[in-house]
Amino acid sequence: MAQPPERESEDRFRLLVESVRDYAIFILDESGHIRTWNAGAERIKGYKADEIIGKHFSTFYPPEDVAAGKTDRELEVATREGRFEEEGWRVRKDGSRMWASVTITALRNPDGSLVGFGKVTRDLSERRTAEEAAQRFQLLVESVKDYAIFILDPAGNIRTWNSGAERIKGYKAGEIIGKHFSIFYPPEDVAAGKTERELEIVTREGRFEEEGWRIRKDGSRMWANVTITALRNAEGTLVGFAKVTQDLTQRRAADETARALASERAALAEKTRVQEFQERFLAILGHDLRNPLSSIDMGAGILRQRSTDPATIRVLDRMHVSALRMSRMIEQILDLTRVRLASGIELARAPMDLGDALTRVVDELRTAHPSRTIDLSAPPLPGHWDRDRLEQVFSNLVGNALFYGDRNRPVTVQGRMAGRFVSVDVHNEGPPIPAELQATIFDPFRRGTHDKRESKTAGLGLGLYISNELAIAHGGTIELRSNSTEGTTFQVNLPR
Amino acid sequence: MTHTVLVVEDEPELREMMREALELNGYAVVTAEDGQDALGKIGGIEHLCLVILDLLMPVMSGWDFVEKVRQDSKLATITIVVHTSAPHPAPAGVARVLRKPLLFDRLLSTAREYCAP
Repeated sequence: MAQPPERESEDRFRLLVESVRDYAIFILDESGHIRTWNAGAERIKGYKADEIIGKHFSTFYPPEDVAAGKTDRELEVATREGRFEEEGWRVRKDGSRMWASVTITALRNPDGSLVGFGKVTRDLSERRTAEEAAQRFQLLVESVKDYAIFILDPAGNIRTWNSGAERIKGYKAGEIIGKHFSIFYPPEDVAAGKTERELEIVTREGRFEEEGWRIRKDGSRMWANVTITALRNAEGTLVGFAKVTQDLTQRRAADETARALASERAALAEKTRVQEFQERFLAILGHDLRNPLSSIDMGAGILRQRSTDPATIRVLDRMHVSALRMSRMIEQILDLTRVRLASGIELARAPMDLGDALTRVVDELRTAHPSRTIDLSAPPLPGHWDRDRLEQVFSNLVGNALFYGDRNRPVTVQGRMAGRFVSVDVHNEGPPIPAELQATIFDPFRRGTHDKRESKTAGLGLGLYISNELAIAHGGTIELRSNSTEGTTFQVNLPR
Repeated sequence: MTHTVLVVEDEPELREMMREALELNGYAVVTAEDGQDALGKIGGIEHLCLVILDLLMPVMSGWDFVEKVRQDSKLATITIVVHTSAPHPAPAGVARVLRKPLLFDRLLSTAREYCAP
């Protein structure tokens, strides 16, 4: 049997109300007790129909509101004015609070008598927290200075801006909003369709991240870290993109500097290692060459002593001279490596008379250079020094004076006391040492300005370097004075 | 009475050269290849005037040899000349330190100084 039309629409309406899930729609009687319930009410407030029907609607109100008589007042307003509407706190079955939009409508018969109230409640909690979160987020985004954070619409046009974006990219909000985000990309990237591809990836995968070049307002390039995220509404529809850009230019420059520094340090460490190896090798070599050299000279000496043949004797004499030179060179190399490897030259100090040591040195050189004149004037000069080493120093200085000085003029050696020090001058006439050479004369591997033939016999060029180091090791100095009027004087000053 | 020199040196060529050089100049020579060997031989030498002592040797070094010799009252007064390339300090109480390489002339002048033949 077909139903009357009013009945049909009533049924349809009931079906509608019962199935609505987003709204709690139910009826109160005139005293406020719950008479009906729907799916939305169950979802929003948590009660099943059979546990709430018959109860008073103040069940849904916070206790402080009930105590203040809020529910009575609301029904009063609805009765008087036909409806009451507000947003306020309501309480769910589990005790949790929700922010709700509530409408109470008076239901009247055709004759105007009150039948009850219709209550429609919407849970705004999600929307409220979302709103609050959005507000907070917006505040945050606006204030962030280190990141450009802004939103694009689905077409890629800029919709928002923040202070970080202004700082990083150089545009003010007013001049950039509405423009397409490809404005930040290098022209070659735009031409290659990079921006379209990026939006495509984001749309498909939700996210895109890369490091790349971007262009500031002033045209300068910066190395940036860029993230683009798809923004979708509750239905999943794309509503735009969120773009976050970080300027890495400084970090990139710092990285490159750090890399350059590291490789420089590595190169330096390698160079030092190689140098130390070479010097250690030299030290070991010098060390091991001594015994065989000694053997050779012993052999030459033995044969020379046995021989009466002048030709043989000449040969053996030259062998001895060579062995002597070689011995000096080895000594110098070892002294050099000792100084450079920082173990230093060890001194065997003992009380001694420098005047005596000078006499010995000069006598030896007079024997070796019979045609030359060496004038020595030295009183007793007592002190606490390494005798062998000082003899080495003066042998070097006097030997140089003989070698580089005027052969027709004497070399003079003068020693004297000078307070806490003793002072010895070794002097030769002849052309002065060139001024530019004087500054570096105590550097290792320096040779005088003589022709190549002679300089081969001059040794390794370490004599003055080592002499100076020996003076320093004794706490003293060697001073040089050389000009065309006074000749050349090396002065050795040693604390006693 | 031939004065005897004890040459203590671990490198054989050098040791023999030193022997020949000294013998050619009228000295009797006893050689030893390390401190241990030298200690074994030193007691049996009449008229020992000089020990020429290398420091860096295997088995027993020159330093240990000197220490052992000083402990023996019969040997304590023997003249020891150290002959070394080592930069380390020489043992205490030695008469002279000769730096290697020792050349022919210096060997003989040293022997002359401490051992009139």
